[in-house]
Amino acid sequence: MPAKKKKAPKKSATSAKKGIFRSALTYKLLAVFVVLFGAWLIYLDAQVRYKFEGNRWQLPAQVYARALELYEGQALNLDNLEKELNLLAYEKTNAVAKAGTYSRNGQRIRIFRRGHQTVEGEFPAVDFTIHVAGDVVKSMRAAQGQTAAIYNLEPYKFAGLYPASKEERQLLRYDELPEGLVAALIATEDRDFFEHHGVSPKGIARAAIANLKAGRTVQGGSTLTQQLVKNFYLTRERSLSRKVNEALMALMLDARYTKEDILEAYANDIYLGQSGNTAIHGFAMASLFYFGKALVYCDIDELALLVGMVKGPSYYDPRRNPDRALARRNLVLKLMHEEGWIDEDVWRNASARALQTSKKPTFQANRYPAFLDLVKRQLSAEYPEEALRSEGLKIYTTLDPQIQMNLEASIDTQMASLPGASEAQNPSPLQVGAVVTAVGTGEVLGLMGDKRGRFSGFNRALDARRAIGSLIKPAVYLSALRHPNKYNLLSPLSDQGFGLEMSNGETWEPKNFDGKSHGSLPLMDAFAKSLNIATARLGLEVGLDEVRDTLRELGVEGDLNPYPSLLLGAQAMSPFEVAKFYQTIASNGFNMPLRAIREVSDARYQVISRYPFQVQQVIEPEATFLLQAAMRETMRKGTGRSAYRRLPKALVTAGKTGTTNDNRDSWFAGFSGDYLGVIWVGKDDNSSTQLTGASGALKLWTGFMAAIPQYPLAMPRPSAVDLLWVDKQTGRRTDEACAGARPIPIWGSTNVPYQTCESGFESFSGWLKSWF
Amino acid sequence: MVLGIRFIVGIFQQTILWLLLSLVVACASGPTAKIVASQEGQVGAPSATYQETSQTVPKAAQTLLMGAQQALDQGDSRGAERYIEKAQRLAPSAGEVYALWGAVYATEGQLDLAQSMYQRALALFPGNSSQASAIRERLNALR
Repeated sequence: MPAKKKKAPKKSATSAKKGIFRSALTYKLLAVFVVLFGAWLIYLDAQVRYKFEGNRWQLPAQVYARALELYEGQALNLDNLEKELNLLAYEKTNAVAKAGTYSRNGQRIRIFRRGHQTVEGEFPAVDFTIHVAGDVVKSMRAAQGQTAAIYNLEPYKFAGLYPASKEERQLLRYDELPEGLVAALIATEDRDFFEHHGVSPKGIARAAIANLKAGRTVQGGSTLTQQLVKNFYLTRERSLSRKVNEALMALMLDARYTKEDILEAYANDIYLGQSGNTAIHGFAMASLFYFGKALVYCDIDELALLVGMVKGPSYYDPRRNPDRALARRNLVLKLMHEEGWIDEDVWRNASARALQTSKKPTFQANRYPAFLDLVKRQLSAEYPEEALRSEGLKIYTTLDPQIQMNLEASIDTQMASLPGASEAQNPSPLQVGAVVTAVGTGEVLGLMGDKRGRFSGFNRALDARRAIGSLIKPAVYLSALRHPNKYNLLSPLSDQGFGLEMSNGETWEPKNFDGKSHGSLPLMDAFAKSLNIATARLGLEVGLDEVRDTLRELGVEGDLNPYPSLLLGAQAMSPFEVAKFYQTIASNGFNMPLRAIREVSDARYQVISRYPFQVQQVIEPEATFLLQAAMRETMRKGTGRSAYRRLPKALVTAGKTGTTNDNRDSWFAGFSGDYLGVIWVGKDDNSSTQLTGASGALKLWTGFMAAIPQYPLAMPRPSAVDLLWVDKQTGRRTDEACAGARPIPIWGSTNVPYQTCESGFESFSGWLKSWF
Repeated sequence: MVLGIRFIVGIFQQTILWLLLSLVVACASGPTAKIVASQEGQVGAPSATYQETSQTVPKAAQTLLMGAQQALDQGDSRGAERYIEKAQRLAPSAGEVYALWGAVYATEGQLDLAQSMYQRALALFPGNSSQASAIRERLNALR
């Protein structure tokens, strides 16, 4: 015992020493732990603040087509309108009762437009009927209240410019969240949200009891704040450390920010579905994706469905699993009722409704890739790529879906009838580049960079630079017609073959397509028949420099061929470049830059950039009038006349065919009063197509133009241009009664010498002819 | 004898022309182009006569132009421009749109732009019309 006693102090001294050592170590470890934990907390806090206060999300740019405006007197084909409504995911029904539906009865169409917002303001849902006759809107009538002068549909979102994360999202502020959505979220996901501090012991206990009772996990204990932290800051890893971090960060988030801030972030961040390879995030985007309308216009049952999907967007996808989605929605509505957010009537009525989901999403990731390519190029000068893919810009373009759809359909149908179009039989099948613009504004309405409209690759409309052949001839004739003292439409041109010795010793000998010479003929006829020899002679007479100047004034940029072969179209251009210069011709000699964008706004619809209409007179309207008259003659009697096998004769058009050596390229450019279309058909390997401009591109153009109601070409005659009777043989003014007299627009009539008829009999017979 | 026949024929011709002219004027007060429906039946080459007037200005565009004029009268040229841009979407070939646009630019002192718009308007009205004369006066006043 003594020994024990003796030993005891020794032992106790050692153990005291050890105890001191241990407690010191414990304190040290504790201190280290406190320091490390503190550092960790500081790190987590920095994380929380950095992400929450910085740019929380990369927002893709949304790219919209023009909003269709409906008004009395408008040219409108109801079949085309139905196609556009279908694109916007409007549902055809027999009884129109809700926004996003329409019905058609013959030439009447009733549309319940969805409420929406654009850069031009907010447009509430409205139910109206339009009556169309002969492809013209005759009347419009609202179902309730006063009828507006214009009804616009929501613009179709045809593309997005996505960040690397491929997330589709639109942001809403807390005060923009519908009360019903907040109620549904609180009732379903976190009943104590406004009471707890980020973590809810009550919620955890409630979930634990529910799970114990069920014998499996039926309820989660995570608060909305924890869910936000998990999605926003952490990985999907299931571990204790992640759970601890989640709880700590939730507490910090709750301490630093208001409940409204947290709910706003949650509502914008939550994952709610998948569109192809793009993830749908946030309730605002999900509402557009599933219902085709903005969240603010959703009814309580629709809000309940969106909230119900939080638990499993794929499992409860209303398009793929409607029964599950319906049951889940009704559970959310029941919880809302139990928690006192909605009364019994609302609960029962909402639960009785069918799912309101649109059959398909109202937007696609990239529906018109060629047009999007043009938009991106026009934006790239002003916006860095990063800004386009992260700041949620809204880009309002000029794309007209009705034009684009008809262009695609025409190319699809007509190409099938052309030899060499089949991919199976041709190693290098026919390809297409096409541009359609509005004659009056220079807006680009449709674009095809490939024969397949959805193809996203080499954009032939913008990048396939090919010899334009006879499409250049308007510039040659315009150069001549700008000299009214020397040329008019009946000036005789020689079509006799000739050779021109070049500086390299070679001889340039232009040939006509038919290999023949046609003697002397009026300028207008030489143009309409697209005669190469007469054109080359005229161009050389006017001067190559002058033709080049005219091309520049018409809007042609880049290098120009310095040789006489330029006069016959040995000049490479893309369809878009051709459209630029034909636009000037179609708009009476006014240059108007081709625009694909009207406005760009930020995510909150505040305009950042505008692309206003610009116009400048570059060619005398008198000379352009004469050229248009010659181009009209091409369509009436010349190389473009086959278009009128399908086009109604009331549709006056002007145009020009183009064919290059060995039939490598088939071109057509033509316009009515409303639309200019330029089409190229050729092969990527530049081999022969066996097509002329008339047998290839013109067919595609005609098919497209025949499907669109429009105004014919009007030609307001400038005051300096007179309609005179001119002898078609001599090009001299004469009398109406004279044989061979033809009414021709003449600029500067004093420049045209007068000749009388040769005999009284001729005069009399001519007079009789003129009457009959 | 020949002179006598020519005289009678001349009078006959003038009378018929006068009657025809009266008929045209009576039938076509405010001649405007008509929209061609996509399914309009008759095909064949269009007529050789020139359609001089461009499209009818739809009522909605007229209302917008009135709004633009009112905004301009109240000194709100930016507001006027917004109205005109909308009107242009509805009636892009109507000279009235560009005439008013020219007036807005002239009010703002942007004379080059005003001139371009007036020139555009002038090109869209037939040269011998009263509207064209009015635009020419405005253009001269700018110079």
